[in-house]
This record gives sequence, structure tokens and C-alpha cells, in this order.
Amino acid sequence: MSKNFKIGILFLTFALIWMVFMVPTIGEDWRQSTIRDIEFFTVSPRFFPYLSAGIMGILSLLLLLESILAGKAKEEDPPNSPSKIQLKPVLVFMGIGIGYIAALPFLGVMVATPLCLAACFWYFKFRRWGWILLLSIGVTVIIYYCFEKLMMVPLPQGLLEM
Amino acid sequence: MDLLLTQLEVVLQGSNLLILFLATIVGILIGAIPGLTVNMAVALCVPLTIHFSLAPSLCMLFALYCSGIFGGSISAILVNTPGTPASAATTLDGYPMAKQGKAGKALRMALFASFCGGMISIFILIVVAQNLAAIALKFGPAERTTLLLFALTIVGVLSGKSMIKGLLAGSLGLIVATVGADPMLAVPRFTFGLLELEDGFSYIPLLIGLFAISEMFQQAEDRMGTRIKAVETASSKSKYNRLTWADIALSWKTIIRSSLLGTFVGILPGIGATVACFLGYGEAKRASRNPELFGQGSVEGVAASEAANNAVTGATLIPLLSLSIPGDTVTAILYGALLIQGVTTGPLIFQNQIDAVYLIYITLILANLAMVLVGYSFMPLFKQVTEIPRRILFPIIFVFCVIGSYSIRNMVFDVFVMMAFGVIGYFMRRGMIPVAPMLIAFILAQPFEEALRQALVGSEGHLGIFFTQPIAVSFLVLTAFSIGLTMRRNLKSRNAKIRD
Repeated sequence: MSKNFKIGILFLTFALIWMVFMVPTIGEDWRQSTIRDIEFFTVSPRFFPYLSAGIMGILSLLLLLESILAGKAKEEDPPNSPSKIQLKPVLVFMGIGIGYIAALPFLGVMVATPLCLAACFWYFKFRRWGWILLLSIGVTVIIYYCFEKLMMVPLPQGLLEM
Repeated sequence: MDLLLTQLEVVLQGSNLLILFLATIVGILIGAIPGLTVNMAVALCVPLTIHFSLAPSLCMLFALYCSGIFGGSISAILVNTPGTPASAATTLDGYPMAKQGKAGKALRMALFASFCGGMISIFILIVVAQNLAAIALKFGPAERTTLLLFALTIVGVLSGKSMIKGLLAGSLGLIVATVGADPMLAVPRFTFGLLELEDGFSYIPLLIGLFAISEMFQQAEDRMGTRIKAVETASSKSKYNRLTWADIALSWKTIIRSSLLGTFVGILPGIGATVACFLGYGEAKRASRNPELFGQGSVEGVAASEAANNAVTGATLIPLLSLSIPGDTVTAILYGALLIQGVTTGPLIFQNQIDAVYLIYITLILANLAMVLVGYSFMPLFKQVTEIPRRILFPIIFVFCVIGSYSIRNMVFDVFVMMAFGVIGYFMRRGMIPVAPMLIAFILAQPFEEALRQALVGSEGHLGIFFTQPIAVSFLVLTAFSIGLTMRRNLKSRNAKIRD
């Protein structure tokens, strides 16, 4: 299966799920709120989502068709195509990021940020501990000062709030 | 005239000038660091503008935009790696010049040409935008629908290598934009009872995710480990580093030609500075008296590429201001930033918010001047900047992205939205699906839906309304023509590949 074929299948599935399961969840209560005796033409709120998903479905079919027609002729696989790239560092980076965001309300910016920075630096093999400490704390202080003090954004305090 | 002077006075306030110069420095630095893009810089700074008024916001964003494009030429010249894709053609002559000890001359020519390109395109913006808006004022719902359909299609068609993938990205943007209250009847769509989704996805977390976070994920693939080594900017012979009158005399025609080409490309939605720099370079080589010197370290080559890519900066604002159509990623981001400031782009801006238009013109001109001043003053420091390791920079930028997204509505939910779109953007990039059409479609979806539904309500559901109005028909013809032309080009290139 070529890459474009897989992409086509993915988008087609998404478009079908959207049309069959998601769009019908849009309520039709608005019909009752119209003036009873006067009939006038209007367009349902479901119209545009159906149209968008329909366009996606048609384009996915075209992509599938294109990849089938291309057949065994080699597709334009770049040298760093997904099969050859390292997904592990990306997933670890995503994991650290999600962990940081999830921890923000509980640990607060002042605790979670240096931990996140230190974890990233360490994972990406920047292991000068003095610099890690300085950068992690320095960046956190700058962020706190800029957002909390200068721009008056109430950042999550977490542990420090207690 | 009084209004213009008032706006000039506003921009020339000390704090605004300070922001302008700081943003210019940051823009050049970000542009110069391979892997960091202008899109990322502008996207990152949009949350900051919430806390500013219009003038400082524009100073910051336009300074980042103009100087960031120039900044890309620094690493193109010094390390043979364009800091931004828009400077890709600059490597062809910039790096050979640097290896010959003429890095200073190449950088100065890049700066001079960038300034000229920027100023010429601003002049054309001032002349064209208002006239185009006057025409657009006559558009009804049917004309607006077909115009937006044309914009959506052309952005999708021209953004990536594959037309279908570009259009698919656009359709995904349309679907994402349907989340939230329906624009005409306020019926909630796909909100699942979540209050956070009542107004749809927040624009800023979405764009930070799509552009900055997905870029970082891509850079993480090699653990951000690629080391970069720059050539020296200084040469033992000082004449090699000066930009002489002879260089300018040799290149002025090229600069003007490339600037006009870049401006033309900038006006068309979906093409952008990368194509402009190659077009400018190719045309300069064709018209040059010394085409054999191109690729060997020709100062004309650097001038051509840099004038063309910076000429896009002013020109992309023409469709944005007059028709409310963002032509590329940065203008899509700027569109959101202007909305946050209460500035609604489109033909009515020239009637209702002319002060904002003047402010845009003035800050664009000042941003170009600041780029020259800062560029010349900090030239010796450029080499160090290009060597900053990404493994230090990206985690810091990531943290700024998170806090920036949080600060929009003080909600962790928005940060998760940013992360989700970062993941989506990453896999789209891996699948060679361009992300820009998704963002632009997300922006254009609401006006498109409104215009379409208004047109259908007006015609009581008859599609004939789109085929009876001459302007609407011409936009439909243009849409079909652009799709047909791209299909023909793709077919030709595929046949050529098979023959090879």
C-alpha cells in the first residue's frame, strides 16, 4: 500500500464518520423557534458541515484513485519518509509536553516549567548540569515576570498557591 | 492628511519604536537560525499583542515579518542553509561568495535588496489596495461566495506539490472551523456540551500548534542534533566586505525586476516568498549580461533572490486588506492578530477604519527602515547566532508556546488544543500535506459559510444565483481554470518522469 493510498483511506474514513455520526448530532431545535405562520426559506446549520465533509470525501476518493492509477510506479518518497525517520524522540518530546501541560494546574508554572525544560535538555543530550540549572530557572523567572507581572496574566500557581 | 500625521505621531512614540527595534532584532535572529521560521516567530508573538494596543502590536508583528524574511538570508549566506524557505535561492550565490571571503558584501547586498524589495511592494500596496477594495464593495453574497471559493481553491492548489493533498488540507480546515456556534442561527455544532468550544477552536493555539509545535516535533526526529558551522563574516581584505557603487550599478535593474515579480507573486494567494525568490533568481539569470557567474558567487544573484522574497511582504497585504483574503501563512496569522485588535479587514476597512490602514502602511515602512539599521549594526554578530544549538532553543520556545497559548483565555484547555493541532500538523507534514491551506481555510470558513448561506437564502435555494451574476461567473471560471492548469502541469511532469 502506497503512502498516498493510506492517506486517502484515512481521510475518507474521517469524512464518512463525520457525515454519518457527527453531523446528525447537530440539533434541529432551531426549526421550532421560527415564526409559526410565516414560511421562509433558510439553510440548516448541518448544511456546511455536510458540504465540508463531502468535499473531503470526494478529494480522498480522488487521492485513492490517483494512487491506484500510479500503480507500481514509485511514488515521490522523500529520503526522510516516515518509514525511515525516528519516531521515538518525537513521541518522547510529545510525552514530555503533554506531561508538562497536564502538570501545570497542579504543580504550577514555577515548578513544572524548570522540570519540563530540564527533562527536554537532558533527553536531547544537552547535559551540562550547570547550564541546565541556569537556563531552566532563568527562563522560568523570565516567563513569570513577563506574563504574570508585566502582562498581568494569572499563571497557574499549583503548589505555591497552597 | 491630518489623520496620517496623527498615526505617524502615534507610531513614533518611544515605546512603539523600542518594540519595533526589539522585534526587528528578534526577527533577524529567528530568521537566521535554521529551523526557526518567520511563521513561527509571528505566531509566537500574537498572544503578546493581546496585551498591547494596535500600534505596538503592528510594530511588533510587521518588524518580525520583514526582518525575519531578511534574517533567512544570513544563514543562507554563512552556513549554506536557508534560515527560512524564502531564502533558499540566496544560498546559490550567497554561500559561494562567503567561501570567497565576501560574506560581508553578500550580507550587505541581501540587506539592501531586501529593503528595496520591501519598499517597492509597500508603494504598490498603497496604490492598489484601496482601488481593489472599491471594486469589492460592489460584491453581493453570490460574488463573495465565489471569490472565497476561488481563494480557498487556489491556496489549496498551489500550496504543496500535490493539488489533491493541498485541497484535502483545506477541507480539513473547513471541518475544524465548523466546531462552535453556527454563524447564522447560533446553533451549537460539535461542542459536546463543552463551554470552551462554544466559540469554536481558539485561533491562536491552533496556529501555534500547526506551525510552531509541529515544526519542533519535526526537528525532534534527529534529537535536534545537527550541528551547524558558519563561515567567517570578516575577510582579511576589507574591500571584499564593502558594498560598492559598482555592485549597486550592476544590480539595480535586477532589484527592480525582482521586486516587481515578488510583488506580483505576493498578490496571488497561496504562492508565497519561496516561489518568489526562485522566480526572481531565474529571471535575473535569464536577463543578466553575465549569466555564467550565477551559482559561482554573483552579487546579482543574491540581490535577485532577496529583493523578490521581501517584495512579497507588502504585496500579500493587498488581498488581505482589500478582500479579507490572507494569501499566505503569515498574513493568515496577521489576520487573526488584527481581529484581536478589533480591526476587520475587507473593503470596508478603507471607510470605517482608515486610521488602522494608515497605521499599517506607516509601520510597514518603519519596519523596513529598522531592518536596515539593525541589520547593518549587528552584522558582526550574525555568525554566532547561526550556531546556537537547537537542542537549547527549542525546549525554551516550546515553553513559551505553552504559556502563550494559556494566556489567551487563561485556560489549560487551549494549551491541549495547541498540542493536538501540533500533533495533527506534524503528521500532515510527514504525509507531505501542506498545513498552510488548513489554516487559511479555517480563517475563510466562516465568511464563506455566511456568504454561501446568504446567497442560498436570497435565491431560495437555487444554485442558479452563482451562474447568473457576471462577477460570480468569472470567479467560477478562474477557479476551474486554476484547477485545470494545475492538473495539466502535474500530468505533464508525471509523464516526463515516466519518460525519464
